[in-house]
Order: sequence, then structure tokens, then C-alpha cells
Amino acid sequence: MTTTSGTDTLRDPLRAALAALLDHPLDPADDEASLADLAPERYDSLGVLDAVGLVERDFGVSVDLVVDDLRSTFFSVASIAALVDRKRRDAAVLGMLS
Amino acid sequence: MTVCQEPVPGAVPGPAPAELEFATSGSTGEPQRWLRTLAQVDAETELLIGLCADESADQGVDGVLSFAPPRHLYGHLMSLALPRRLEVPCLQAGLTAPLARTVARWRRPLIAAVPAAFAVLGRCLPELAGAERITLVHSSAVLPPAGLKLLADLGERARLVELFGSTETGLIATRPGGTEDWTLAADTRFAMDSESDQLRVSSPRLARRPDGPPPTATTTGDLVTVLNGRTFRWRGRSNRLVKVNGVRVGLDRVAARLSEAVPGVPISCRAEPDPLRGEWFTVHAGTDDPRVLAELAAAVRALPAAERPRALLPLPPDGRSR
Repeated sequence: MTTTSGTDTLRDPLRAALAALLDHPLDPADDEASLADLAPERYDSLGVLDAVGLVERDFGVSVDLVVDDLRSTFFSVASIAALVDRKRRDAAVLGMLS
Repeated sequence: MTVCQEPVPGAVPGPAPAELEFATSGSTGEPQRWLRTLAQVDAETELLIGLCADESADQGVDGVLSFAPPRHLYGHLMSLALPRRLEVPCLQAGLTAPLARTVARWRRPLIAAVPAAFAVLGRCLPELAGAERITLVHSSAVLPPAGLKLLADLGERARLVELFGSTETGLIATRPGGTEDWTLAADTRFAMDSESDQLRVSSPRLARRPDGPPPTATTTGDLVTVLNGRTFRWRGRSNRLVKVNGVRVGLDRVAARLSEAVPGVPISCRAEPDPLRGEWFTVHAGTDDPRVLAELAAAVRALPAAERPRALLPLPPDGRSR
């Protein structure tokens, strides 16, 4: 899968933050893998909501539980990084327009 | 907990089951089966309708959004029994699934919440914007701060009904959201010795074990101050129990399981508030040996999902957790 430089930059700190949250080591080779499969003991629906809170707090974006379908956007390290990158780029564009 | 809607072994087979079975998960002890007659379930449903959806008091509802799994008593009542009795639709909600468009079309929804649902609902205010009146129901767990914030955000069109009870007792008491004192359900009575502060109640809705009749009274494990013949103030629990998103977890049982897996290490489980789950807990280990901590971490990962702590932390040298 091709990734943008934005998501590449995000993945390392995001992976580290998620590993701490889930109390489970995460390997870069598993970035595309389901977090629910990697850390099933912690990444249930409550764990996903914990991850949403972490991403909002540490990465400065706002997650919309209705629009941002959590089942796909919070599936893996890569998908979360892509969401954060997209939201940051959207915010930058909106900032330029305002 | 599970619900068995098939005839209980030994019961007379018929077109409808004589009793429903709810089983505790075992997170506070060995799993136990509790049986309720359909008449008990119907009686509790009528009580809930009077509290949460009384048409004659202009509190009727046109749909139920339930975050409570129907395998639990609370979920069964709110997701199945109450909607069926009121002949209104019910949608089973997930914490990570967006609210269905149907909910946005309801004018008078009743929302059966679990602690984590309040944080989710607080992010879905636009989907609730069209509702004229919203009834939020919460059962038998610490109300997270997000619950009162949601109530404030929704304004005068929303009200919160809190329910106090258990699988064994059914509904014991209720209170309007944001108030301190509980009022017994209409068919429930205190059954405590005058000197005791452990809540003990009698009602016609107490569940029975498979091997016996319903008890005449049940002690709940809650410490209360009785204010008068019908009201009490909850002061805490007499046992080492937390409710993680409404699911009971026995802290002593968790500590015992970890001690069994990794003997010789002092283990302490400490309850703490959690903004999402209402309550959670942390395991503190009396060691800073990385090898032992790794063994304990593996033992924590082997615990059933509902019993896993927020974190495993070594105790500092002074023995006090930070």
C-alpha cells in the first residue's frame, strides 16, 4: 500500500502512543494489521473510544463519531494515521481560506 | 450474563418459557444462574414504563435506543420487554457505530445507556437535535461526568432516570438524574436490622436460584444510610467491587487470580474513577523486578476481558501507589 509522507511521519509517534495506551508492543510491520487482532485484550469498543480520546488529545484533531466511521478509520495504525493526516490537511486548507 | 429464552430444565414445556435465566459472568465469583418468572419480568417492565415512559404523564416515547446488551437483565428489559409492551421500535446501539438515521427521526426517544454511552451521545448532539423530548436511563453504575454534561447540553427537553438494582434483585430504587437520594420502587421494602447499614430489601421480583424458591429478602453488598421508610443515600460498597462500564468486577478475585499465576508478589487492586467507564482499577505489584513484572503482565493479559485493569504498575519503594 502506498503511503504519503504525512502518514509516514505520523505513524511512529502514533504507534508509540497506541502501544502505551493498549499496553501492547506494536511493530511497524503490523501498521496495516487490525489493532483488534493485535491487541484483542484491550482494543474492544471501549479501547477504540480510548484511542479516539488519545488521538484528539495528542494529535490535535477532532474525531466525529458519526462521520468518521470508527470501524474503518480506527482499524489500524495506518488507518488512524491516514485519518489524522487528512484532518490536519483539511484544517490547513480551512485555515488558508479563512 | 446470558439470557436463556428457552424453557428452564424441569419447567413444564409450553408455548412460552415459564422463566428467563440470567447468569452472572463469574467476574465476582463462580458463575451463578438466576431465574425470573415472566410475571416478575412483566411487573418490572410496568414499573419501568411508569418511571421512564408514562404516556399519561406526558412522558411517552416513540422509540428506544439501547446500549445495554439484552443478555443482561437491564438490557433485556430495556431492549426487548419495554419496547414490546409499548409497541415502539428498538435499535441496539454500539459504542463505535454511528447512530442510525432512524434515531434522528424519533421525536421522543428513550435511550437506555451504559456509562460509556454518555461520552458517545455527547458527540452525537446533531443526531438528537430534532427530538422534542429525550429520556435518558442509566442503571446501577457510577454515573460518569459525561452523563450530567450531556443532560446539561440537551437542556430542558432531556431528563435522566437512574435505576438502582442488580441481576439478583431487579429494580430496587430510582432517582432523577443529578439528585443524591434514592427512592425505593413501589413494590420494594427495606428488610434490614435497625442497626445495619448494609442494604437488604424484599420485593416480589427477587430472582431465585435453580435449586430453590425466591428468597424473602436479599442483601446487596451496598452500604446505605436509610433516610426514611422509602429513601436512602448510597455510601459505597461493603465488598471490593467495581462496575467497569456497568459490569461487576471483584477486585479481590482479580488479585487472587494474579497471585495464583505469579506467587510470592504482593498484589493490590485499587479502584479509580474513569471518565468513560465510570469506574476502573489499577493493579499494583509489590516488585520492580522486570522479569516478575513481565510474568504479571502476561497474567493480566490472560484475564477475561471484563476483568482487565487500566494498568499494571510496580509499587514504589515506600509501598504507596502514586
